[in-house]
Amino acid sequence: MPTRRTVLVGTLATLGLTACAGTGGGSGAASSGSTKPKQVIIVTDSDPDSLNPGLTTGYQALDVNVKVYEGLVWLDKEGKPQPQLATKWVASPDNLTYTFTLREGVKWHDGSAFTADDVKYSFETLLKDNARAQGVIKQIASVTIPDATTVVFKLKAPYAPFMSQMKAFDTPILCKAVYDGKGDVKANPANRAPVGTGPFKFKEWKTGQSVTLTKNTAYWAPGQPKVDELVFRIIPEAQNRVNAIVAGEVDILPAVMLPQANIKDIEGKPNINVNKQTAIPALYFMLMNQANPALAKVEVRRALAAAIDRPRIVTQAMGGLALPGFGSWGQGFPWATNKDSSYDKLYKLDPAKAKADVAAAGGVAGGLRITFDAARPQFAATAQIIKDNLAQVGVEVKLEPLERSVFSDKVYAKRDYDLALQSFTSSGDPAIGFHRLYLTNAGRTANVNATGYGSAEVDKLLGEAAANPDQAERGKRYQQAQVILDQAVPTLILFDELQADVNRTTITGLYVGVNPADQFGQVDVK
Amino acid sequence: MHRTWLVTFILKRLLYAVPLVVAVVVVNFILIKAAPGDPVTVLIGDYPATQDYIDQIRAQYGLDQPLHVQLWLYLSEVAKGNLGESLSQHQPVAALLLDRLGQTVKLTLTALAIATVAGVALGTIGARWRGTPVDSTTQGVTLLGYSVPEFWLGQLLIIVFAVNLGWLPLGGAQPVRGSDFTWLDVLPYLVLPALALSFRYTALIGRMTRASLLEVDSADFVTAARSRGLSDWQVLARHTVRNASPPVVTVIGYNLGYILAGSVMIETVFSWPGIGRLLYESITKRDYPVMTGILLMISISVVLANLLTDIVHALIDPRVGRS
Repeated sequence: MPTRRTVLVGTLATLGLTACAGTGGGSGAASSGSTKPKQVIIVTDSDPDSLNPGLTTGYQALDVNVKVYEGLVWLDKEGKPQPQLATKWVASPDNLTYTFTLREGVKWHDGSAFTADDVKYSFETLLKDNARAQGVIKQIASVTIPDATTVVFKLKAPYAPFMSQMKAFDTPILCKAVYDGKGDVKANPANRAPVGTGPFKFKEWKTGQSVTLTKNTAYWAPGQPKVDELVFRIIPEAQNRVNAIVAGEVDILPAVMLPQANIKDIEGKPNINVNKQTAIPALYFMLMNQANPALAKVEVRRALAAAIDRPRIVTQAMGGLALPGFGSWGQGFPWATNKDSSYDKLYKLDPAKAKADVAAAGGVAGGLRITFDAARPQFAATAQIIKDNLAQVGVEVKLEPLERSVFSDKVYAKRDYDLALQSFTSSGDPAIGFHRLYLTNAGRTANVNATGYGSAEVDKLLGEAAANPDQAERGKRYQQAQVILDQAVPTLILFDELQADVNRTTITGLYVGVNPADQFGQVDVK
Repeated sequence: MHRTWLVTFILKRLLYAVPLVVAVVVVNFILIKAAPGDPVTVLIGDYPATQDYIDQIRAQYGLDQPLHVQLWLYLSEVAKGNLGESLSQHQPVAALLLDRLGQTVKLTLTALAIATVAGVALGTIGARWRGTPVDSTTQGVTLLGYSVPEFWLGQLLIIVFAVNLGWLPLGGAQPVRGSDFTWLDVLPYLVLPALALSFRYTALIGRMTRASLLEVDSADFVTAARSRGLSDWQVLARHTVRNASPPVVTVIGYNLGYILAGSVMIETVFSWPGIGRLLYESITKRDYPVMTGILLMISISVVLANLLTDIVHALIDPRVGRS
């Protein structure tokens, strides 16, 4: 069995190679065999779980998959959808029906034609159980295909971030013929040798070492891709990833793979470029469990908010790569941020007053635990600063670093914690990623508000904001909700993360925008 | 006559090993299930997931069964030679292990070879010049080697030889750029991890060699050999080393398990694509089948290494086990 699998994957890889060599007469670089292929090496930290986007949510798989697979659209710098596998789309006036016209002449990497059937099958079968796609999948009532180049989505209710979830990150389109009728999806060989429509096709996966993609010479965008190979090199140890880019062993170090505090080891080094940006807004925050009688009192939560030095966390724990917590939505979406209600006004750093307020509210008997994912150094550093800050107001804090899976279990399933540190990405829209910070969550859904806080008014405002496609109208709802949330502080926003993608200066054509990882067709090597 | 003794000895030892290996699997299985954390939370990542959804995924993987049922299913599959399927990578565990095994064997055997040669040399030098500054130096080196944690030494080697001097690559098992590599291209990648992994065992073997040589050195037959007019080197080569070797062989063989354990850290530090790193990753992902599969394999190799050590021991020491 293992040998058969290996042989199968090997054969697929070889087929991919020969197909590439057979059609790759244009550029002439890779086809001669003796010349070195033009390679770009990207760092990652471990093997992808699977290269089937329906089976994983890990970034390691995502970074590879968005070069192999494509979505119906991609999002530009302003977060606006741009054509990818779909060339046009129309929303009905009631925002319940979206009709997409698909790009013609697109071929899968195995040579077969891409059709509307693939889109329907991806949404209805392959992505159905994926946690990342759940947000939008749950909103879809039906997918119909009137003809081979038209797909119609009917929604259960209007859903504002629908278009932003049609990108390759959330809902990539997979090849129906590869999976349909081929038995157990989990055992399909394409999970380790994916067949997509993107600018790069799968070549080889050396487990524990690297994943290699090769140029798709039949790619629909003329003149793309520009390099022959993309190699994802696996370096598990964070410091070694930094060392590798400094030494020139790799070309690109994505923000996700770079511990922010290490940025100072990289900045100013020769031939290295650091792009700092708030690509996709992401918030780091501290949950306060209201099952703890002290934290159930709003006076105590407010006092803690005034005791925590957010700028110090940004400087010391994040190497300056963050914006100190502004309010309940951070400041990544300016249209959703209420400038008049802010932590700086409500909870100006004042340890003496905070100490008095905690005492007046009855104190915090027995101190508090602060729980976080031990694998993320920025959390460990943040927890230390919070411990130090709260000691000054007479609250003793005990650090509780846990493995990721134990953290989820304790915080979300058991709610056995006092304070907990976590981060959420918005995935491009507050309705996708940020509502879960505050929505009432009686059913203990994982990765949704585990503080025990719930406000019918906030829930209603967020529901309206999710359903209305008009940004100004949505903004009003978010700003109203922010006033309530800033006052109640169920969860304290510590900072907005800035991202720093690092690359060697020999690499050109990197797209700086919302999701730079899925725009690699233009990337070239000097 | 000689041969039947050896066969009985091996069969007996293998028979004793069976319950030991089963116990290792059962204890590890129960321990890891008793530990908090769950593979499903890893599969979900940071995305919202309702309890219904979590239960559905858990049922898909058979994690909703009671512990003793899971254990029984696992053991009966293992007995049939099936190590199960990885929860995170959806691949047969045996395939994952075979894929990584070669690299770990390469790394640990190289480290063991370095440690044996360097350790015996250091120990012999120490014993030969006992009480001199040479002896104190080798003693100091071995003490240091025994006290330094492997992962820290690994980081240090990377900073000095890969980052600052740029002589050797900082990790991986082969070049990433280009293709068609010869063993000369690949060899530099083995140097630092093998050195880091061997350091502790060099020290251990060195100290054991020295102690054993000194013990034998005071025996009557050595005094007798000296009185016959043999030089120090002749005594050492013909009499002492031979008689001092059994405890050294024992230390080398019995430590294979520790070397395999040490490779978990070293493989992670040096991005070495072996079993150790797979174990580390499977623990963080709570990938139970992969984890127990690796522990099973490690316990079998430790049992086999110990058996081999005993056989070698018995062959070089006529007093062992023939009764």
